[in-house]
Amino acid sequence: MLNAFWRKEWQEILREGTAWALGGLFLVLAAIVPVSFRYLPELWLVELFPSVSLFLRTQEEGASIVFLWIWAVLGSLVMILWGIGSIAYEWRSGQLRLVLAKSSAGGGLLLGKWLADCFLLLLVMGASFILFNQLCRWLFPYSLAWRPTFLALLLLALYLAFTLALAIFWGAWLRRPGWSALLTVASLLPQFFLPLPFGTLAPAMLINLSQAAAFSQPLSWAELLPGACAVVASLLLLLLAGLFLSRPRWNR
Amino acid sequence: MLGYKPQGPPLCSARLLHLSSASGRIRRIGTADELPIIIKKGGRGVNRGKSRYNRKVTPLESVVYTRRLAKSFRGKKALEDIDMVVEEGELACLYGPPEAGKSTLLRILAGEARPSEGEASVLGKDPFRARSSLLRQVGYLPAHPAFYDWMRVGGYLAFLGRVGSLGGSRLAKRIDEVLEQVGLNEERTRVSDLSEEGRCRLGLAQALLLDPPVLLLDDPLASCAGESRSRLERLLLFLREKRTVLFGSDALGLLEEQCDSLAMLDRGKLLLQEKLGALRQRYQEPAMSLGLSDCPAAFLTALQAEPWLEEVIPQEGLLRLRVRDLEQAAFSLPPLISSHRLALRHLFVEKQPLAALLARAGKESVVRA
Repeated sequence: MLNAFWRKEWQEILREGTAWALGGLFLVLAAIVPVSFRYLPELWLVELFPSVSLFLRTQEEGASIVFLWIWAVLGSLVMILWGIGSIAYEWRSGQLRLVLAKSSAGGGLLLGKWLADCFLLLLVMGASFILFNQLCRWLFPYSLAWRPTFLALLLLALYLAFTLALAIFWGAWLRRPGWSALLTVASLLPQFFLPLPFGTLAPAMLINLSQAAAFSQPLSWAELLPGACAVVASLLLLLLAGLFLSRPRWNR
Repeated sequence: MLGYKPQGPPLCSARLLHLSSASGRIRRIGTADELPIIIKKGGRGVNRGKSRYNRKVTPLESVVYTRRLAKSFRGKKALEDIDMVVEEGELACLYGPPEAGKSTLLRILAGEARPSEGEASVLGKDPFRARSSLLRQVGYLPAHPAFYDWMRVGGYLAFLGRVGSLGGSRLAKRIDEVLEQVGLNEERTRVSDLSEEGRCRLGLAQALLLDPPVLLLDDPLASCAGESRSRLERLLLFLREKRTVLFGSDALGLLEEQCDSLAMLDRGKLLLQEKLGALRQRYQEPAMSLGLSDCPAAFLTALQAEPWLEEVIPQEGLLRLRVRDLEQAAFSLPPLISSHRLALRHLFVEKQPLAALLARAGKESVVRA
């Protein structure tokens, strides 16, 4: 059954152009960031971007940081919209009613959706990283250190997958896009104030990781521990959301 | 009490209830009014160890059963005290104007919504609590169904089949069968390219996909009119074979005229539930149409002298006879015609439309033909 949901979701992503839109957006960004750092460095040094200027030592390192930042911020936004949009929209349009009339596996449905979206996320991240790295080699020449970059990207992907699961959870519970988006953002905020390992998922920590990647600082596999926690938390959230989805409540 | 068939008044409150034990034996347990007491005594006898919703407490032969069912949305009552029974093999119509509560009742029976009060059972199980065990046994079509428009018809049914745990060659065979049954020969067509009639047929196909013995259809012909509606009505009459079908409708057409029982809802209340035969017997105005080769005054005088006749109304070359006793009229009329040496062209007993019957039953405010 999970296979059916996964296949359907993946077909929908490809046919409805979501993959192309998301892939296109991040590939364009992966190209723009190093090009702008190479030819318009003053653009990044103005006071509008003080935090970037602060960390900037060289053009290529700055480009790497910005590239990973864009992934963290824009990726979170896309995941929130994506997770909420798919569940709340399918519920509101009535498409999910016919599916849930055939199966009570709400958890399977959400897990299939999440897996397909995560797979797409990995593909897009991989492709845009390859493009970015290649452009850096041509323009500077410079290439990111493999190990810290890989770890940073992997943790970033896990963080985004967790954000997606959170958005799916609120979408399945509330079934109203606006409120779901608000509560997803509200649930992400406490990470800024939490101690490790939960706080490690916060974008601030990701930024640190991205700097480590950019400056080739050593990173150990232990850094992935919070990512593993995020995966477990995501699965639990999807399981709960599946229960909400397949068992209607009193006021429905 | 094996083989007991409910008779008499349509409401089930006075009917005998039966309990199916795990061994399949059926015992009489009392009347519907005694039911709460019986349920509270759960955990004894054949029900020991069974959860409440898995107990089969329904009138014998009933497939769909509700008792004092009510549903409120934030204090607003959508359904109130619904006592309804649909027996096995019946084609039952849930008729009422828009906002009468038909969709809410069907959603509860399909396990999509939870009742606020009272109880419901489908095939002897609580449709909400035992939902997963009923999924393969109940085909549900909501009002205005939404499909994945980007899919092809065959692909969509294959997806739903896989979701419903069908697969492989069995699924492919079932899709072919279902598409043939509903007359939708457009397996490769995109759902978005289907006509309104095609979408209605696809909705029926998905409800039939897992070959369920019970169909709950919420206004299945809502978006069809004219010839396509007639075609689908004929299709539904064909599909009822070997199945129990409960469908909601806010209009009275061919399908409603052909159903076995009719439940009428208005503003969340059940106004009546009755077998169509009993409804006709009670409210049908006994009348006949008579066509003769000639109509001499002597015959009319003799006819009007008959004690079984109430009124003669000439209508477009025919005589419409309103009678007091239909049986006596059928017995006396042919000798009277032959004694006046007239040729009988045709004679038939009028069957009044359902709307007229319901109007006679005092439900004019609800009827929308």
